[in-house]
Amino acid sequence: MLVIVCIYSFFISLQTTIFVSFLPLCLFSLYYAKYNLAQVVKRVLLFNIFIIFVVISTLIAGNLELALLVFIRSNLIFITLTAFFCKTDMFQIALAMQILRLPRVFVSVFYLSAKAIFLLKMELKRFIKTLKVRGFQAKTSLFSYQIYSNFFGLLIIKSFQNANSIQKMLLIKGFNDRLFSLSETKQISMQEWLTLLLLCTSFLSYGALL
Amino acid sequence: MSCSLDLKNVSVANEGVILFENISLHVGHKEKIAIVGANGCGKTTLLEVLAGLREKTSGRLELFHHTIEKKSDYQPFRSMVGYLFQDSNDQFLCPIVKDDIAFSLLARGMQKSMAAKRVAMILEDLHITHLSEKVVYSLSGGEKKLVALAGVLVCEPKLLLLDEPTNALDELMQTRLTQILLELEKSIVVVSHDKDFVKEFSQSIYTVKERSLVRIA
Repeated sequence: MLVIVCIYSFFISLQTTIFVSFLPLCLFSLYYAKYNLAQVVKRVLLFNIFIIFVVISTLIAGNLELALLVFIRSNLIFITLTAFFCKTDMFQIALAMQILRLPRVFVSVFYLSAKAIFLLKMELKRFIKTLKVRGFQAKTSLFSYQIYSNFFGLLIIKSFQNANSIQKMLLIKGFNDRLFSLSETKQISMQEWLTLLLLCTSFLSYGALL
Repeated sequence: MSCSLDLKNVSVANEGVILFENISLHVGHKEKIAIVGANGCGKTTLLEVLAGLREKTSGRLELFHHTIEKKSDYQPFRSMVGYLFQDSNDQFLCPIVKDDIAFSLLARGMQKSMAAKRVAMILEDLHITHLSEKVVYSLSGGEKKLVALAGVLVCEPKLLLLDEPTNALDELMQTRLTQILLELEKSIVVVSHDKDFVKEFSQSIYTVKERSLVRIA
């Protein structure tokens, strides 16, 4: 699935014209994630906060066509990627990257970064709980800003501590730039065959349209 | 190889602060010792020195009759020493329990089928087979501790270094853990401030007093 989505994303990112034939795979990805649609929509909306800045700056430069292209292209790629992998954890993705023979260091850096981000996310959740418990109310005041800056400071210290403990854990576990899992590699599923078929169809119809 | 760990006139410092000065300690084959002391006295730092995770300032450290000068000298003995972190969350690398327990075995080149058997055995020994498919971060504090211990024990280390193993455990879980540790025929060094657990578990108890280790029982 990772390979199919990568080919699809790479292909779309090179296009200067977006055809309707690119849509079915994206729509199928949404069907694939039908039970996690809310999560996908939330992520897409968050992603679009950044994209909208790019679109606005392109519009200001007076290029409507390019702005639309950037918006549609990035959303097609992001929706497909998020929808297909919303249920997959980072460890599985890292394992898949390893199976695809991507450089070991790259895979390790990817997974360990994901783990570090996960730990910081847990820290953020804990901090929000602490603020609630201690009766903090966000206001436009120096005190609120002070609290937020303290949090960022704590986050930096915590990330150093996390990095330190991760390094010790890797040493203890005998980590040698490779990830392992007891789970067997799964056979290609029906959904994956269908995704591949849709990818081929978009390529073929794209070729026919040209 | 019989297990032994020897510290001779070892000094340990942390960020420029001397925590231990000229301490000596011997852990014999299948001996169980405990180090107690107040919070912040350097128990964990000492355990990290014993685990080769931190360099000592001076003195001599002998592990399995080999002198350890620097951290890299520890490498050949790494698989023979098990280390349990104070915070179980620090122990986990993989999100699924069985994968995390098997990781050290697979990283050392064991076949998947063999590793799976060993994992199943250790899960059964610790009565946590029902947790094998669970996500580690969704477990309770006690369950995390047992899973972390399983990840250490699965490698069959000769020497176990345990940092506050009963930390955040309820009475039942604590009794269970004590029982498990008592049944292990291994050399064990435990760092703890839980006096009841330490009394029940260890053959000799040391305390940290004015930068030195004093045997109290």
